[in-house]
Amino acid sequence: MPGVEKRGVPRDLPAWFQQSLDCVHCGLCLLQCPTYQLFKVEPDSPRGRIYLARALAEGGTAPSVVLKEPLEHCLDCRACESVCPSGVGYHLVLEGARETVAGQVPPRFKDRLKLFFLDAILTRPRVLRLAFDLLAFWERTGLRKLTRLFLFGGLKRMESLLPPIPPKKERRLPPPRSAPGGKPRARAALFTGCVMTELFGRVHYDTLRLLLLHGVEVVVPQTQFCCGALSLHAGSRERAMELARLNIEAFPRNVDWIVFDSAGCGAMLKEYGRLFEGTPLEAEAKAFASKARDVTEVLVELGIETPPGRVELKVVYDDPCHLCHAQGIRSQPRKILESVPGVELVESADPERCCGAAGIYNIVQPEISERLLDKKVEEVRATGADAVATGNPGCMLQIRYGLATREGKPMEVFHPVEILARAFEDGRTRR
Amino acid sequence: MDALAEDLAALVNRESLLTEPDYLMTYECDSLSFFKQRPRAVVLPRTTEEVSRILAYLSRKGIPFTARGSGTGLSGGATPVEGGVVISLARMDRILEVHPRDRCALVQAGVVNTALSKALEPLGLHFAPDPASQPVCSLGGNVGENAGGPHCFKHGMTLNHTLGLTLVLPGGEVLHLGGPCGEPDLDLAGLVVASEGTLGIVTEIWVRLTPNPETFRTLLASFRSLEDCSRAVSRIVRAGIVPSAMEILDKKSIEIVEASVNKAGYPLEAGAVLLVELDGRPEEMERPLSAVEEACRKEGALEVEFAKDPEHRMKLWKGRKGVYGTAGRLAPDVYVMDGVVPRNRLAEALHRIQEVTDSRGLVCPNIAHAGDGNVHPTICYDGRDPEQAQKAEEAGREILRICLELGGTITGEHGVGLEKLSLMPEMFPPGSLRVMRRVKAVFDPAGLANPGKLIPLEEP
Repeated sequence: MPGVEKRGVPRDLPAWFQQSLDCVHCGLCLLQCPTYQLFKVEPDSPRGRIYLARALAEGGTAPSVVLKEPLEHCLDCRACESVCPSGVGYHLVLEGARETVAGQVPPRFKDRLKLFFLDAILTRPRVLRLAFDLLAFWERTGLRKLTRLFLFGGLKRMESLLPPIPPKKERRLPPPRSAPGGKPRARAALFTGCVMTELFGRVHYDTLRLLLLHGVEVVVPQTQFCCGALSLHAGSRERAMELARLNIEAFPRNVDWIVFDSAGCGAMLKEYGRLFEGTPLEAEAKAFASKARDVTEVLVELGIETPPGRVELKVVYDDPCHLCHAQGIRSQPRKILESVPGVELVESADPERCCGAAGIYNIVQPEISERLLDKKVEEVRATGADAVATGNPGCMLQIRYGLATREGKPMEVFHPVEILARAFEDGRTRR
Repeated sequence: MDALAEDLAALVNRESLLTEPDYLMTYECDSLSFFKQRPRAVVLPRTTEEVSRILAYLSRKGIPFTARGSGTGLSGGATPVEGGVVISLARMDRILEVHPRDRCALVQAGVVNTALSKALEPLGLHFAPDPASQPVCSLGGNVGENAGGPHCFKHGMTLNHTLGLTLVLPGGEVLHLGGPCGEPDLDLAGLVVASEGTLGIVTEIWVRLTPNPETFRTLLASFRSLEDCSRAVSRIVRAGIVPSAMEILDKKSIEIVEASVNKAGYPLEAGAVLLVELDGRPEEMERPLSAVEEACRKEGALEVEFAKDPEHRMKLWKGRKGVYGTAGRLAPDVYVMDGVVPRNRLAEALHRIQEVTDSRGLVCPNIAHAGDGNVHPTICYDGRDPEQAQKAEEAGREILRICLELGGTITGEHGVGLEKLSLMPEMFPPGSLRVMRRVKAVFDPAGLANPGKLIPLEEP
């Protein structure tokens, strides 16, 4: 903070602990916190969790299963950071505390399963590809429909969270290099992430098409990795740093932007600098992070071209937490939607409250997740819109699932760029 | 689970009870982290009946209790007492009745201040008291502390907006004091307002609703010094104008706001700014507005800026309301003071407050609800350093003594709580304190309702 010296803070404590000292216990975060809204208890509020984290660092309490619970309840949606007058880096405190607890509390079966899923499947592109090939096979042969009859409990839920597996051509990465017609205005590298490619590969193609239409040359590194966010949020910093390092190596230096179309990955890419603070890779990580941009940021900065076609659609935009709270991006996706002729953009009651997806939270904390989803579905349905637009794969999956499992009129779920790309697709009016 | 926990669980249910030491720890203080005391248990009732059952039980066992809303109080009113139980009303968050034509509503004590106003928006009504913590603080807490806020200069404090209450006495008896038409005779509901949970627990409140003003006009005047700024306030009041709010922010406050998420566009080169708001009908606004502007200019305003649109107005206010939290960037702990001085001595008071903190090397942004002479120095310190903590406490005490010396009081709207308990004998003569103790004994003969707060226990 310029001109203001922060006194009395010893420098040798972990960075996250210093962040916890910024909290003055004012409580302005309470009502922004989805879990406090549900439970109305202090340990399930950002203020309470910071209090516990601080006690943990200062020796006022020790890691335990009891302490772990409220830390795990947190969605890491960072809504609290948007209202914190003291600017506490809450996610850093949370990650630090989770890491400390994870190192000392023996993991339960559920935790081990989660880490296995992260380490062995999600964060390994080839294994993930294979997994989705198997899922596609399972679906194509009709086995999916069949197994549905026998599934129950958590597995049944996971099955319904998974949308139809897209065709293989959508799950392929876009070509390594695409040039726009004419002299390029800028050069961008596309970050494709993990699940995004397998389930929403079509969004990558739309992003690519829009960037080209706006005069941007696009390179797509063919070997890239999960951003590491899920590992970091699960308290596994080492794995997160490994993935980040692989990505930093995989991306070319001579680009203006590293463009992503997944808000969760984007928030993480922008944090790479901080992740490597005090390590030899710091400078490179900071350079990488400084180029990271959401596709909606880039398009608005370039000036959105008016599309030739129309899309007659009433759309409600839902802010992904890691776009609005973590990156402060609120107006750009709305501008994208408003630029499409025929689109009527409407607002729901609380678009910035988490839908309960939160990475893999919807799988590991099903009860809280379902309750948050109830509210979200109710609020988006109340707008009378035909479709929900949101720019993060987790939110897209969750809201799609929520709409499908709760009564009411059917609504489609899109990424904002899909709607814009559709209006460019051809001059025809379509829905 | 110990016997107390088992008994309480039988009275409510397991979900409404916290007994794990780690969870109890998060209840050991409210927004004033100066005082800490871990409760024996936290109970979260949902109805008046549950509260009544809990209090009956606690009084049989002789266990003291403290009511808590959102825990945003600044004087330690919700700090648990030793060996006591915290009764959190956060889950009593339902609006029970709204009577738009009679302009009143019945709410549970845990309803959040702005949640009520938000719910009433379609009716064009709101709850007028607007403490800075209004997006989170509960109406029960507002009643307990007689909360105010910037707009109370014109619209009055919580007391002026409370028509009736449901009070659960420590033995469990439920009283309905006042009601939608107010209290006809002896105003017992009025007595309970500002009693800081020492007479029992308020579970439901009949609140007065205020029509939303047709328009607001907000202006920001910057001054070279706090003195010029304070003189402008007196001039505005002398001119017979009643703005709905008049807020002073000093240089340090401007600096920290401008470096926070609540950046409001306050001029960094000013020694102080004055934020003035008028509300009413559009045709009634121009004359007082230009009178305010003129008063500011006559007292040497460097610049006078008008809020251009509702967003700009919100921005100007957000900056002001975030000062306290924002101060957290200056030091790990923040001690927000609350004292009142006669309006015409505001400049002198602010000047002397600055001397008190400067001489101890403490950073202290100053803000004030200038219309009411209500000052809120915000002392920044590091509580882990005992010497600094002591300095902060001393400075706080001295500041309140300055308020008394200038003919003011030790609290405007934050209450006495634990924080100012020892100053009560300096503020009130022994006779008044004796009466307060007797009043408490009438409601709470066993002394179990938040004992050791507000009213000093023994004869000084």
